[in-house]
Amino acid sequence: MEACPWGTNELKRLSVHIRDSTPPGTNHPSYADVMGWYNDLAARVQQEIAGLNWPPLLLDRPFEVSSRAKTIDTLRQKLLRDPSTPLPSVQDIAGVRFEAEMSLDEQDAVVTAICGMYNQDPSTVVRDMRTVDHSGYRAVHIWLRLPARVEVQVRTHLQGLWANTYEAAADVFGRGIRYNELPDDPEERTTIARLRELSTNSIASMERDRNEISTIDLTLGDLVRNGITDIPEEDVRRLDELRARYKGNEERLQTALVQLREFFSTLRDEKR
Amino acid sequence: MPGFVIEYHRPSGDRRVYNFPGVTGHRDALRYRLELEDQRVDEDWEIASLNSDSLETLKKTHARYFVGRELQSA
Repeated sequence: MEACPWGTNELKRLSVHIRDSTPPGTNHPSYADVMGWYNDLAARVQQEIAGLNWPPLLLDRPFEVSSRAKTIDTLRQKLLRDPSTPLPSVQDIAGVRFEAEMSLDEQDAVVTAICGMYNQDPSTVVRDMRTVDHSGYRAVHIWLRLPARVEVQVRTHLQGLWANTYEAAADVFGRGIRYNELPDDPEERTTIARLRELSTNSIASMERDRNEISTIDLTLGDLVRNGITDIPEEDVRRLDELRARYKGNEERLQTALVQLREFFSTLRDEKR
Repeated sequence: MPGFVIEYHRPSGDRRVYNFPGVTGHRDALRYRLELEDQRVDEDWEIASLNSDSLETLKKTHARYFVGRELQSA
């Protein structure tokens, strides 16, 4: 990949221009050129990730991958929140999102595959937010160090579904809820607490079940492939129990999300 | 890589979507996003350029932008 064509000091000066909404100066690159460069970088990483050989890992399940250069609003907010962070140190100006219906173990394997492709050490570049969530947000992020920083968000479908619902809530209740703030209105506070609980309890528990289902499935599959017909009954019973519980939890989750979306829709209609 | 520009009204969820097909679509989309940013008068309208093989993919990875009504693109 081509090196970043601008020096740190030039990008720092551009940071100040963006943060303070001042007129563009002559001693820094243009905002358009820099965003174009980061957008190309994001698109390139997206294509490289999409081109990895995923079927051995995800079997016939599809995956979705997209990318973007950070919007001016979220970039300015970031620079205002943390004025000491210059533009080159903002992790997600170039961002890539990878989602698939997958188990937690498969999510780990996806992360390992992406780190391996870029020869990056997972112990230093992986941010695992599945057990220690951020305001309810659960996912795994990879902070790639390429010619510039690139953030790759790896999410299961349930983590992605929740994150998009929470972003929609942030549009209604204010973006502060993404940084542990809560609305003043008691009904709105309850809604946010319920949303976070859906992620940290309900979805996290469903994903543990999904992972166990996948593990038992693999074990039983191996037995069958090796011609062993004496399948352990306790494994079959456990599999049935987990699948039934997962199905019930999935229905309850869908119902809860529909109710929340309807509530957001009502609030939005009031603002239209 | 195809690109898309989404104008998204945060309070109402309304959106306008612009499609930029082809191998340079992501660059065309970013250029259009920057034009729209220059013209923007209401900061409740978020302007995003997104790169993806299809709009269907974005409806999953960026579902937040697709919860409200779709308005006629300008």
